[in-house]
Amino acid sequence: MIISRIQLKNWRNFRSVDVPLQRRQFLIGPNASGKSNFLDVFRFLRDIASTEGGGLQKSVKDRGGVSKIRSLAARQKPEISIEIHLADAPGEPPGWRYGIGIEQETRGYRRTLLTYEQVWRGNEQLLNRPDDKDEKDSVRLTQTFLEQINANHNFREIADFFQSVTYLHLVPQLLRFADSIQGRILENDPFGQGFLERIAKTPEKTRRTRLKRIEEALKTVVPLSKQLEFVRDESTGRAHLQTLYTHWRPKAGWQREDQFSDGTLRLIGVLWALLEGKDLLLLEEPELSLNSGITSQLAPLINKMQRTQGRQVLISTHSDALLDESGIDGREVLMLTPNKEGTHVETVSDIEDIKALLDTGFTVGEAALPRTKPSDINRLSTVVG
Amino acid sequence: MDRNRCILAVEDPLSEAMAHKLLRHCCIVPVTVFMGFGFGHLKKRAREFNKTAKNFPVFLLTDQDSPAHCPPGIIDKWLRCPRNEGFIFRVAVIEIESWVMADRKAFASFIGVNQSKIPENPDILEKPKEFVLNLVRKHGKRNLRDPLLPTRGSTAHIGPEYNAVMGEFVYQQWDIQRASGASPSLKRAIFAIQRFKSLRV
Repeated sequence: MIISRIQLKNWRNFRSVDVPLQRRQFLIGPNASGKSNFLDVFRFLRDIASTEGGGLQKSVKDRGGVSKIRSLAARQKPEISIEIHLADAPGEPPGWRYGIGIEQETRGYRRTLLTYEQVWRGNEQLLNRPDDKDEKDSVRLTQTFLEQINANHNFREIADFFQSVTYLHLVPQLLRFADSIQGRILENDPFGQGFLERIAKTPEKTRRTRLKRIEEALKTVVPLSKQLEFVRDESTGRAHLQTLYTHWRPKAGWQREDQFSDGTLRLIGVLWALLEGKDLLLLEEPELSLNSGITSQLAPLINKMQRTQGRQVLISTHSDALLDESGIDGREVLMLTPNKEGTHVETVSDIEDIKALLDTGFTVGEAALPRTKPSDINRLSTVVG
Repeated sequence: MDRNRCILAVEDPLSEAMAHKLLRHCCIVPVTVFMGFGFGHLKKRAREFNKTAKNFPVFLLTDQDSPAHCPPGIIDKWLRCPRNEGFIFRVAVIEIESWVMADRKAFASFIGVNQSKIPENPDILEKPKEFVLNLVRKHGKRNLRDPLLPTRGSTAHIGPEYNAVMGEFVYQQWDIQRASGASPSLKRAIFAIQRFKSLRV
């Protein structure tokens, strides 16, 4: 199952968004245009649906309250709303639709309250809140049915889907110096500190297959790397990854993850995540610390890794090299354009001039990325004005 | 075709600044700017730009680079087919610096030299960029030398802030009216953009 369409109102940077999503979807836009905030919608839904201490109140509180997640551009209708369509493939009619609206109580405890919660399976509406009971007891509106196992049995499938959304923004230093930093690992480990333990917990056979596939991919992009292995340190019991590099001393070429380059570590993290699950994966700038030659192979590599699990991937990126690949469809790229009325999101193939460029053989990187760069277009108006 | 907007394709930030001024003068807004891919890339993609221009206007600005290349020859060589009407392809004679210097009054005061040091028709200079650099080196304001000139032994042909500083000059002080009086090739370019703008479909 994939998210085939998303509609947002007043969510963070966005006043109004309605875009279809593909199985592989890239997000581009200038700095601070809201790429991470866009990805955060899916993490928000995951946090609500999470059976491990999730729920609406906590998810909103963790983000600093309704005032922090409501768009500054919001005007008359201050309600935040999110609607998600789930389908088997992009462009197909949705098998499920889930929508919620949120606002803050205007007086009293200023709790976060639902303005509505709706679920459809196909064309059949399974849930339509607020219902009579909600009208009589407003405390009920502080929780979604999505987060309650007793109440979501009719649509458990989508609760499970949201719960298994994964977000990855692997920070190599946190992983490499995990022992010395001894930092607190955030819920769901977005920065990859506990990455090695995750690998360790995977059943051995699965682990070996996945590492084999990653090894194959690494060989093509990291020169001299030969073999990738999982090992446990005999004295400390800690999990480690090691790779064998071609070396003039045949037995001395093994290196552990603390000696991997940032790029290699990130690449292993990204590839592992792609193989790890079947549901939505959110990748934040996978090109960081990668050589542009490797980056240019990421888009096809992601596609190849997706094939087994069919995992949907949303990728935020700034990289020319990543998008300068003629196999990327204009529909696979969303452009975020900030303006005073909130950030505008559109599919690049719907933008007239970009469509004209794509149609005549330009890559998405050539046609769409220039628009996201700070340009003199704006500067001219301020200078010459 | 919407003649109020275009895609702009240039080699470097200085040409971009120049193109913005030209388009602004003719009331055309560049919506997408191709820049920083380099000269070779523009040449490689010229045929595609020509096709794109069937559906959306494209303004490409490049340098002639050497008196040996004639501008119509460059266009023919790059396109190898007739130019579409929506494709404004202009070649600055010989380099964009000629157009920059063409506003002699502003440029002389910017560099800090006497106006007579700048030729009355900068189009005739064979190496305008070198001319600008030498002018700065020999007579220019001291505070322009570090940003505009490459250090001794440097492999770069221009100083570390050359494009930014020159671009800033074009945005802030360069005047299109004064400049078009001195450079015939600039005047022709403006005329070509105006003609495109005023044509009805």
